[in-house]
Amino acid sequence: MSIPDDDQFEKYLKQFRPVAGEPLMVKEKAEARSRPLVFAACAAVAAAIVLAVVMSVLVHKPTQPPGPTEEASTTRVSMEEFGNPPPLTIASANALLESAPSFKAAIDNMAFQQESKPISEGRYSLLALLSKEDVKQ
Amino acid sequence: MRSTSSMTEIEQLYCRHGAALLLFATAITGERSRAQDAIHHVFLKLLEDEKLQRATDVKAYLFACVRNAALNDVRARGRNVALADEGLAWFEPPSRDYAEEASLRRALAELPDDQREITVLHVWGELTFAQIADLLNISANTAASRYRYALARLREVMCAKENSCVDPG
Repeated sequence: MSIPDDDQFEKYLKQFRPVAGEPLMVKEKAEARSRPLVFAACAAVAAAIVLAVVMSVLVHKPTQPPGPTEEASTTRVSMEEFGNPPPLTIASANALLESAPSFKAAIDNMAFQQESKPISEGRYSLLALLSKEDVKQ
Repeated sequence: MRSTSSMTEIEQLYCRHGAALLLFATAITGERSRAQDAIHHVFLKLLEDEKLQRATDVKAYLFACVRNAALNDVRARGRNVALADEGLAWFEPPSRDYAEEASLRRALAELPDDQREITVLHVWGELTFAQIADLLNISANTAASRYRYALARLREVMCAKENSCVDPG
C-alpha cells in the first residue's frame, strides 16, 4: 500500500533512525592537547628552580672578587690554614728540583711536605681545645 | 582550556544530534568515515573556540558547521565513492528490514544535492524550513518546495516496488 500523503510519508521516513556514530573522543583529545601544556609548565617550574639556585649561589659570592694574583695567594693561605698542602705544580716542582741537593732529596721534599701548618694568631685548634676539655663521666 | 561543564554540554549535544549530523555529513561526503571525521573536527573546534556560547540557534549552528566541514572535505578530496555505494547502512530500519534501508539510501542518493540536504535536515535533523533557509541561504518557501519535490521523488522510487513503503498508520 503506497502512501499518497506527504505527512504520512514523512512519518514513514522518520521510522528509519540514523545510525549513531562513534563516541566522541573529546575528553581524550582535550587531555592529549593539554599534555604539552602540563609538560611546558613543569619545565618552566624546573627552570625557575634552577635559576633560583644559580642566583642564590651568585648572590652569596663576594661582590668584589680579588684580582687573579691576590685570589691565588688568599686561596693558598686559606688552604694552608686548614692544613691542606698547596697543590704540586710544575713550577713548584722545578723550584724544588733546583733548590734540592739531589734528585732523591727533591722527590722526598715533594712527597713529605709538612702538612700541619702553625695556626695563625687569634685562631684556635678545635682538636686542641677538645683534648684539653674534661670529659664528664 | 574549556571548563568541564562546557565539555559535558558538548558531549550532550553530540549525544542528542550526533546521529542526525552524521547522516547529514554522510549524505554530503558519501563516506561514513569521512563524515565522522568532519563531525569530530567540528566538535573539537567547538571545544577550542568556545563559539557555541555565542550561537543563538545551537542546533542550526551545529548543522551549518558540519555542512561546511563536509563540503570542505568534498572539495579537498573529491567524492571518491558514489552516494549509497559504500555498503554501510545509514539507518536502522523499522523491523530490521535492511532491503528497505538500502532502498531509502538509493532513493536519497538519486536526489539532487540540495533536495537531499533539505530532506535530511527536515526529516532527521528536525529543522524547520526557516532554519533550513537560514542555513542554506535560500528562502523558506524555496526550502519547502524543494522538500516537496524530494518527497515526491522518494515516494516514487521507494513505493515503486510492490508491498514496500508501508503506511505507518
